This record gives sequence, structure tokens and C-alpha cells, in this order.
Amino acid sequence: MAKQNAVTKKSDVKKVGYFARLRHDLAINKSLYLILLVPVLWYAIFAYGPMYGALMAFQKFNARLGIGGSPWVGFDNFVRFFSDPYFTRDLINTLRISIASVVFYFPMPIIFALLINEIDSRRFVKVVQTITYIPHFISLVVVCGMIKTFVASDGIITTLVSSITGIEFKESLLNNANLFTTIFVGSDIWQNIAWSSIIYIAAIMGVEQQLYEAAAIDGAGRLRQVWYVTLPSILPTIITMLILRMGSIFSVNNEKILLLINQLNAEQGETLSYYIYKKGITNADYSLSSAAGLFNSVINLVFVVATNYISKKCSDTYLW
Amino acid sequence: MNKFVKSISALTAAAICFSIAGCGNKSAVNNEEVKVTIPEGYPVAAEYTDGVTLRIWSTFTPTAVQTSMNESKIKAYLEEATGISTVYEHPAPGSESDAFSLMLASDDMPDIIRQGGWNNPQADEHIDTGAITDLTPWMEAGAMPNLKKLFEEHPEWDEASKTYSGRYFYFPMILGDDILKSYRIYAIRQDILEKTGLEAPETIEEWETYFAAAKEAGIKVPLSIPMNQWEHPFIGAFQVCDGFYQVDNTVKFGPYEEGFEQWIRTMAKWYANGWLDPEFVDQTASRVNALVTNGDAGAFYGSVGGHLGTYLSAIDPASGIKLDAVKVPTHKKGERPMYNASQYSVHSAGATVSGTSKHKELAMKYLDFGYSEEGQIMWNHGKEGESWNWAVYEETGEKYPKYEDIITSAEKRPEGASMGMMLGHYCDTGNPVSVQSKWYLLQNNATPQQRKALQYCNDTDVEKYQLPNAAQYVPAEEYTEINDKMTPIFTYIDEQVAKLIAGKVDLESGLEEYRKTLKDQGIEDVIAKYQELYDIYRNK
Repeated sequence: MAKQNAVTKKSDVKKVGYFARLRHDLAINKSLYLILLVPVLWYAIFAYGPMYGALMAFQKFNARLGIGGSPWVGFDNFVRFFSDPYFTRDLINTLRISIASVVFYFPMPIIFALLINEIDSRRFVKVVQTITYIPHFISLVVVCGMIKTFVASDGIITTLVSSITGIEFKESLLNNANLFTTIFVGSDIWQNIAWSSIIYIAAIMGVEQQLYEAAAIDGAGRLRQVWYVTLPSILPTIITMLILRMGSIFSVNNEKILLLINQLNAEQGETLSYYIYKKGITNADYSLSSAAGLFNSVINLVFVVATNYISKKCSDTYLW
Repeated sequence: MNKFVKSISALTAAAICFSIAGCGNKSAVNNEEVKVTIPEGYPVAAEYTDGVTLRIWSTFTPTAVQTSMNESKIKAYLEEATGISTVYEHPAPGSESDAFSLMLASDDMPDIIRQGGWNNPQADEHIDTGAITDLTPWMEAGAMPNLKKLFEEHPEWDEASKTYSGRYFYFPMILGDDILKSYRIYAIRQDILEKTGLEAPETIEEWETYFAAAKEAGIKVPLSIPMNQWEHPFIGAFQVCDGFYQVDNTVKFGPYEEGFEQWIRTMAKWYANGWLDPEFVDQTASRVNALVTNGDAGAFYGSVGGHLGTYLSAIDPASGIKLDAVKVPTHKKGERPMYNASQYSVHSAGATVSGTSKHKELAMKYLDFGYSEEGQIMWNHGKEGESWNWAVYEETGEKYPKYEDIITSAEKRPEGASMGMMLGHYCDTGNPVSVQSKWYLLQNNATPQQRKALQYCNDTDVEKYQLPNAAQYVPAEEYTEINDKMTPIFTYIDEQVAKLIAGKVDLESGLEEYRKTLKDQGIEDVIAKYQELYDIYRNK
């Protein structure tokens, strides 16, 4: 390292080629590179390796012939995907659920973490945290069974809604297409709010105590301390999480859709990935599924890059 | 920098070579020699088996009795009888379809591939790519005499087991009796009939009288039925069949018929009257199970074993709940019902020989055993003296292979084992590579109610209207196009029908929109396509 730092003149940099420097660095930091090798291999094998499978999206894929032998069809699969009568509806559904999740679900763990932070009794905090973590560990199948029971015509939530609004429900709330997004996102919040708040609680723990003391001396109440000290301090964490979240804007939890969807709520509950599951996977149409998957990934990539760019322009926090 | 670019290009080139080599074209082994050397009869002499162990790929669900078919008795019985040793390979339960594709892509294919459902439109493609063997020349050469004999006796089976282009590709499971064809039954509460003095309902009017009486008697849900793209119970009473069918050689699509609209109107009325389960879109097994066994349901539609059988054994006799099977609903009283969900005699389950097998003749010899008289009994019942013995069937006086207590008696079975598990252990009754026997079905559904249900649900005219299986083989090139049309159509039917019934949309304008949308989505093109395929089939 010392030697590299010594290189200052531009002409020197040119003289020492990339591979020469690499070889030199390898010799010095052998053990570090060895450790790095594990994740690099992991990514190479499990993340980059299968990527050539995306070629299927441009083929009429046949498992026996493989990617080398299947005929090429250009953008046919994409045309099939986009021209499906349900493409627009399911695209809108996907976006609706996803955006609702960003708007309503995303802030919840932050608020929860702030609230937890304001509790003075450590013991009470532990009890609250333990209880609120539990839903996260229940399997999704069971959780969806619980949701169905809660919103059934005689379920606890339905009864509650009835008594507030005065509307009688003859059937499950899930049979109302308009309520699907609410139930989907609401149950997500219930299940995962505490678990997702861990990272924010950790960030809050790292805030300098002196800042609070200074704020208190300046006459800031608790609410103002949260607003002027805690929130700005954890803002980088929040923005990082938001950028990451935007990277999966098109990925709605497929299993949960599968467990909650029915003929009556499909109008707003059927997402693109669920439809492709129906059309592609169950009919072994791998090419169509790949085309849809590729489309999803591209959109997700665009979103994550855009969010990062905006964040870079507007604040100092960004991923790259 | 130059060096860097060079190494990148070298790497890319290497990667391309690798991918071509790794996933190269595994085209068919053409012009293979078809020669039959093994003499007829079993067991096969050691000089012909040559110490070979045939590898069988098969879907399988582990049970309390066995974790693999390799532990099963039936495998050992078949090996003993044929003189051919075998070993089973199973994909992980739940990922069968992916595993199947992976297997086709691998260089190391097994000798025999057994599947619960062969997708016939793709069978030609599988033969052309060399994944499976074209059995036609082997059939002619006499490699499968037992199957050939059966096909000669039943030309309709022969026709139904071929691909679109007319080639043999698998050893199908054949339903040996009409009673095996349907297992979807209608059942009601016998105790309500008795209480109200009503007769078992047959027509729609009688069913409605029954529902009203059941509602009066305090039954919460007089009717619980599933509705999805494959099934619309009661539809036969409106003189419509489900899916594609033909009347006087004209192909029709049930949900696009006039009668289907009548069915929707009736269901909407039943829903509005509180007769139809308000949660009919949620067919979770546990929910329906609770509904029936708690006595909240007045009638249901389901499977003879999985539903009726399960409920019968779950209901406490002291509760007074009595279930019984009724006839399939009809249009007019006394008429033979027009339609009930029914399977083809030549089932899509079966086994085939892989294209790369080095022991094709031996594999065919092994599979053909299932179609001999001895083999049929073995696949359906196991071994005489161990799992079955001859007995006389009381109702008809016929001689039949009666399962031993080790299978039928809960006390004799290993702990935690059900009859179904034992049937999968001593024999292979689910999807035998053989002719499925009615004696299996009658013994597996032994209660009087279930036997009655089987009689009723198979007593329909469905065969008159069914499109022959072979007439529905869409050529591989057109398969995608039809799928692209039918997936949205089925999605639309599913949703719109549920909305119409549940009153989410106005019935009159909704029905108008329904007809129009189906037309716009191209249902008439698909019907025309099936008409064309059917005409080609008939003129063959």
C-alpha cells in the first residue's frame, strides 16, 4: 500500500499496468483476497451464472434442446406478454399494491422505532418487542389463514368495521376487490412492522446523547428532539432502505397473493407475476416466464437507479 | 489496458464455448435399430437382462409407510415376476414439473419415465427432440405384445393413446371399467330428507325445494360447491357440458352456450336466496370440511373418496348428520343426466421409455407386463396370498381379488398408515402402468353411500358429447397460440361468473358484457380450431 501511495506522477501510473498492480496487491493482501473470494464465487455461481438463462426470453425454449439448441424468436415472447388482455390491468394492480406498500408500510417501522425509543422502561420495551416480533416468525400459510378468519363475515375485523361504519357484511371482506390492497398491505404491516424496525432502532441507538442534551438545553421538548435530532440522524439509514425498497417495486410477494386471491378480488389482486405463474409456469412456457422476469428486473433496475440519482441530487446519501 | 481487454474477450469466448458445449443440441438418435430379441413370457431369462438395472423416474409423495418406491412391496413383486431389476428416482415433491424439464435437459436420462399426466400436445415434440422413444416401430416389431393385444381388442383405446401425428409414445393407465371414469359426486343430508319427507332431488326445481326446506330446518349453508375453470356443478341440468364438447359433430364451448347463462342466473338466484355458500370462492379444504362435518352444509359436490369418504368417517354418528349420494342433476325428471365431470378411458398418466435409454427393449418388456392378466392383478392388488386372495363379491356373485386385512383393517396396518398408503405400498393403484381395476375402486370406497355415489356419478350421457382425447391434440406449433387465447378467457370467465353470481355486477348488463368479451377475446376462433381438429380426426 505504501508503495502505491508513493506513486504520484501521472506518467508513473501509466507505466505500472493494472495487472502488475493487481499482482502486487494480491501478494501483499493475500488473506483479504481469500476472504473476498467466497462472496465473489457465490455471486458468480448463483447470481451471474444463471443469468445466461435470460436468453430463454428470446427463444422458443425446449428443455431437451437447451439454450444452445432452441430456436430464436426475437421479441416474440415480449410481444405475447405485452399484448395479453390482462397485461395493463395486472400492471396497474402490481403498481397499486407496491406503491401502497411504499407509502403506508415503509414509514411504519420508522414510527415504531421512534415510539420504542421514547419508552423509558427497558423491561416494557423488551416485552413489547418480543410480542410484536412474533407474527414475523409465523409461516405465511398460517398468517393468511388467520387473515381470512379475521376478515370473514363473522371475523373480528369485519365485526369491528361493521360497528364503526354501520355497514352489514354478508361475506368476507376479501371478496371486495376494493379492499384487497388495504388487507394485503395492512396485514403486511401487522406481520413485519417490528421486525423491520430493528435496523432503525439500531440507528437510533447510535445517535450521540450529547445532541439530545444540547437540544434540551435549547428548550426542545420531546417531539422537537425527535424532529430535529433523531430523524436527521437516522435519515441516511432511511434513505438507504428506501433506495433498496425501490429496487423491488415490481416484486409483490407472490406467495401471499396466491394465498389470498379469489375470483371476486382478482380484479385488483391479480399481479403480473401471479398471472405469469398461471400462464407460464403451469403450462411449462418457460420462455414467456423469462421474458416477464426480464421485464420485471429491468423495471426494478430503472427504479433503483433513478431513486439513487434523485437522492444523490437532493441529499448526501446514495448507494453509489 | 490492452491486456485487460484481451483477457476479457478470451474469457467471453471461453464462456460461449462452454455454454454451447454444456447445453448443446441433444438431437434425436435417428435410425435406431428396432429389433426384438427377448422371447415372450415372464420372467425374462438372465441372459437377456444381462445384470441390467432399469432406472425409473417417477413422481412420488412420501407416506408414513415408505419414503421411496424402492421400499415398496410392489416394486419387489414386479421384479420377481418380470425378472428385471429396477431402481426408482424421485423428484422432490412440489417441484415435479421443473424436475421433469431438468431431467430432459440432462445427459443422464433414466430408462423409464413415469408421470401422472402426459401432456399429449407436447408428446410429438418430445419424440422429435429425442427425449422419449417413438414406440410405433417397436409396437410393430412386437416388443409389447400384451399392450398390442389390448389395443386390438379395443380400437378406441388404441386411437386415444397416440400423439397428434399418430405415433405411440407411452404406456397409458387405462380405466378398465366405466365406473372408474367419474368420481365427482353430489351428496345431500339424508336426515333432512327424512325430516321433511322430501324425495332425493333430481331436477333444479326439486333441488330448490330441498334448499328451501334445509334453510327452514336451520341449515346455514344449504349448498357448498366449488366453481373454477374446470368445474361448474349443476351445469348438466341446463343441457350444457363443461369445456369443449360436441353435439352432432358440432364443437361447442360450454361457458359460451345459452344454457350456461341460465346456469349463471340460477346460481345468482341461489346466492341471493342464501342457499349457495356466500364464500363459494374460498374452497379451502379445512373450511369446507368444517362446514360439512359440523352439519352446517345441506349439500355438496366433491370427490367420492377425498370428500364423501373423509366426511363419512369424520362425522360422529351420534350427531344425527347423515350424508347420502344423490343422482347427477337433470333437466327433466327421469331423464338420464347429460353431463358430469369424467375422465377418459385412456388416462394421461403413464410411463414411457426415454430416448437415450440403452435398454429400450428391456424397458418395454418390463412395462408391457402391466397389461398381461397377471400384471394387471399385480399392479392393482399386489401378490396373491400376501396382499389379496380370491373371494366372491356378494352383490353380483363375481369372483374378485379381495384385499387382505393388512390393507383394509386399521388394526392390522402399521400405526399411522391409512388404506390409501397401504395400497401404494403393496400395489400401485393410483396411477398403475396397467389397466386400472374396478375391484380396487369398489374396495377403496367400501361404504354403501360411496358405492351408491359411484353408480350415480357414472350414470350420465357424457360419452356421447365428449370430444375424443385424440381429437384435442393441438399441434405443438399452435399450442402456444391457443394457450395465449385461453388463459385470458378462463381468467375472465372465472372472475365474471363469480361476480355475476355474487351480485357484484348487474346480472343483465353483466351477461351481455360476458358474451361480448368472450367473443372479443377470440373464443370463436378457438372453437373453430377445435372443430377443425375434430373434423380431421373424424375423417381419418
